[in-house]
Amino acid sequence: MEKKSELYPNLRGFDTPDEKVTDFVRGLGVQPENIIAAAKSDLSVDGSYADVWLLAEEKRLIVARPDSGAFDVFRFDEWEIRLENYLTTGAVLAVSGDRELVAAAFTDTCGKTVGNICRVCERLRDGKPLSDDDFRRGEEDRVCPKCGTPYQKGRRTCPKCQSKKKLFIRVLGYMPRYKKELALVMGMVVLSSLVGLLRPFLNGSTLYDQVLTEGGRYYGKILPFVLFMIGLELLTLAVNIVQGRIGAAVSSKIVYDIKSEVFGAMQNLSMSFFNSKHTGNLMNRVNSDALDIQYFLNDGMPQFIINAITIVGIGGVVLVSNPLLALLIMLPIPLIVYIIRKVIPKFNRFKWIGWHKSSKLNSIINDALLGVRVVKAFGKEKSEIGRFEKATQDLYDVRVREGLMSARIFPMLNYLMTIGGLFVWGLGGWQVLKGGMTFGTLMTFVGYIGMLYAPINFMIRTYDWWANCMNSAQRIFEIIDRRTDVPEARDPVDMGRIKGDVELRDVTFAYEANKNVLHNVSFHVMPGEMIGLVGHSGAGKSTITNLITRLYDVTEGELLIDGVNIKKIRQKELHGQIGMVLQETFLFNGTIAENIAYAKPDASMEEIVRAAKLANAHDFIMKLPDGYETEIGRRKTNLSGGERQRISIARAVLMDPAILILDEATASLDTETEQQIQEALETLTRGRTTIAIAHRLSTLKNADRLVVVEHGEIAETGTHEELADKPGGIYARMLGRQRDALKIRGVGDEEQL
Amino acid sequence: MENKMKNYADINYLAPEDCEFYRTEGGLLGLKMRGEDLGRVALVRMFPLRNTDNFISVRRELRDRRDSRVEYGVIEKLSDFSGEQRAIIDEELARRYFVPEITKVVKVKEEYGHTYWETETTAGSRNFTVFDLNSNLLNLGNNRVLIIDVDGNRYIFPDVTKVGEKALRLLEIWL
Repeated sequence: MEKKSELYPNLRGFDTPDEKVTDFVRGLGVQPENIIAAAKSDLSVDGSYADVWLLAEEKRLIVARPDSGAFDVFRFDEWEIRLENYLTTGAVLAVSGDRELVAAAFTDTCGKTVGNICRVCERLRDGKPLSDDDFRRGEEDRVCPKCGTPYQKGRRTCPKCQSKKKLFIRVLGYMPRYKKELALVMGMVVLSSLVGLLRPFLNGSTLYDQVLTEGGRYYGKILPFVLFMIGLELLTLAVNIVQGRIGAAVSSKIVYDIKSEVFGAMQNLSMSFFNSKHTGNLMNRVNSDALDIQYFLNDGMPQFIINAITIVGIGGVVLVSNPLLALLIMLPIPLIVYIIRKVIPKFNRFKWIGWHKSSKLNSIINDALLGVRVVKAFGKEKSEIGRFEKATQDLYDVRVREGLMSARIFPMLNYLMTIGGLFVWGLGGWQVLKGGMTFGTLMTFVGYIGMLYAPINFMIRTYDWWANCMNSAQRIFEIIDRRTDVPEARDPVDMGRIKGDVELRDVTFAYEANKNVLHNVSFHVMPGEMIGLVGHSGAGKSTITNLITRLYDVTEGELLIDGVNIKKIRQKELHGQIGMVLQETFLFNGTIAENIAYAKPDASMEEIVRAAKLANAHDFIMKLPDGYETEIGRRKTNLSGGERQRISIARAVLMDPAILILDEATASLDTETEQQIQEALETLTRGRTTIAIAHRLSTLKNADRLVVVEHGEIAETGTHEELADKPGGIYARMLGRQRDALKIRGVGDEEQL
Repeated sequence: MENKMKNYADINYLAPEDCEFYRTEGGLLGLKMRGEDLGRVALVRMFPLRNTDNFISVRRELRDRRDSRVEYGVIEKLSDFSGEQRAIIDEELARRYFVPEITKVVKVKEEYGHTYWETETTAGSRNFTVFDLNSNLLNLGNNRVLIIDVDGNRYIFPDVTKVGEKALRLLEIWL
């Protein structure tokens, strides 16, 4: 992100001021060469859109509003620059002692760059050196560099500027793998359209003028003619069957290729991709997008070729043999084109609305069925029925409107086409009587006219179809092409067996720009040590584990595993040596044995059983009729939360990870089950670097050290004994509260703590 | 125990006569309650979409992350406040909840799931892009419709039936 220019030789980042701003600040005595960072904001402090520039020099921040001629200067030795975020806007505050000024405002469009410049100001004020990292952040532009239009995050190319042609070529790029089949299909397609063109000629001119008319070339040879026609139809049938079969096979294979590439790409994407709502939508569409492409390749392309040949062929034949009649045929075409282009989209809109309403209806049905216990317990059956009826009514209304419209359009189109035919009959009949044309030619014309309008209809809509397919292709390629947020290092380090030394150095992290969840977190876990992460919910504990497993990368600071920066470690090695047991266990469809062996598919039966035994799972598995081969997710295998948890522990045991993460592994279990699982966990954690998160503090009694996290910062560190007795300490307070809670409940079992 | 429960559920409605909202030197909002200066406060709407004028929580400003739990009280109805007090509150709410109303759609274009808008709003002219109207449109009732652009900015159509034919055709599908 080099923003240097001749005017601004020292500008390192964010936005480059335009001429107007440059002139304005020059007028204020500001030297452009002193400016280190610049950011444009789009909102004035009084809440209207305006261009506002934030310009950072080494010792001060200048806020310039060229439109109104106003400006403010905040010297870093007096003012601290801070950021405050609201619903969709934010404010840059200048703070000095008790004084707080709103220096600038911004909408979320500029939030990232304004946040970045504030961070730069903070570093300048603290006298800290600026690294390239400070300027590289937020590099991912969401404004198209080509046309300047903002577009959806997470896409690499602006949909406006994406070249459809290139996309099309890329889709076709999947085809050469099936060269032979495709050539065959194309050949068949051409053959069948030529036969199609021949048919009216045979039915018309040949039949009437040559077979049925005296003096014709084949006069009286009705039987051979009929046999010939039967033969021709058989040939067409054969051609169509062959084309359909090969076409379906090839297009399915191409879609299969695309889908497996998408799925492969999806597995390599980072967590942030999956957590983002918009990309979530993208994912859901992958399947229907792939289908779109398949339809296009299977039906659209061959149809396009057939129809193009048909139109050109008919046009040529008709025009050459009878120009006047040809003109008559063309007469209703503009009207038909108009109707198809103008009216059909309206009609399709009703289809969309109908689709939307019916998906609403489906979600109501879904809610009512999945939530049937709640519905019944609260006695809300009637209101659910009411909700359903309202949605059904809405859908019904749209369908009626759609029906009314289609009842209007399609007969009209039909009428127009019939009229065209009648014109031909009229003028043609007259010419036949006058002797200018044979009856057979007239029949041929009538046959052609019937064949012409359908291809026209198709060709008019084909662009939309094509564009739609290209859009689907684009979404799919976006996923395939997407760069992961946690990229593999260029020269990844092979660690071998990880010892389990984990160190966080000044780690700051934000899921969303400007909203830090962790602030300067530092701690060091020795190999084999068990650390308990304690803190209120939302304090940032799970975020820390997300960073250690590298589901996300730190925003600032460093995370080291065995002294090596986590970003440099080969990801496969890292993930192969970090085990996780989470509160929400996830078991895949398959047998218990397969689930235990998930991380080590080549595990022997003995290993699996041993892991299950260590996880205290063996005995309950033995009670199941199918034992280790019990299918999970099928035939209503009801495993309890504790049982599922023990299977996931067995999975971790078998994996034998160097670093183990327990995130609320026992939180959803009753105390007795928890105790059994605790035993299982003890065997698992022994001698292994373990980072455990638990709200129930009793779970952490084996931890060597506790790290108390509060509001994204490390508040306390120490052993249970040290922290429990610390007067006014957070841990001591939490411990006290949990004891109290048990007393109130009449449990009073201090052993639990 | 029951007593304790009750305390938690109590809503401390602010009486207008106890409160004196003021503008700080720097243009921020401060509050004096029964003569005691509480310094900067934040106004947070409980129902920011459909009931913007009722139930507004007055909270200690989050200058320090640790203080997030302090609620000084609740403004039950904005209409309880009048004159300058009301003006100060409205101004602060407008600053925190910046949702311009679209007064005119100059141009709108749809292409492949993105809609490109050129509009006049109560805060000036603005061009923006909305992706996937289905998930970024909220029908607030009474023909009021909220849309969210690709950057998360929000805009309101105060009367969706008056946005013009083309825009209405686009929006109608998702209403």
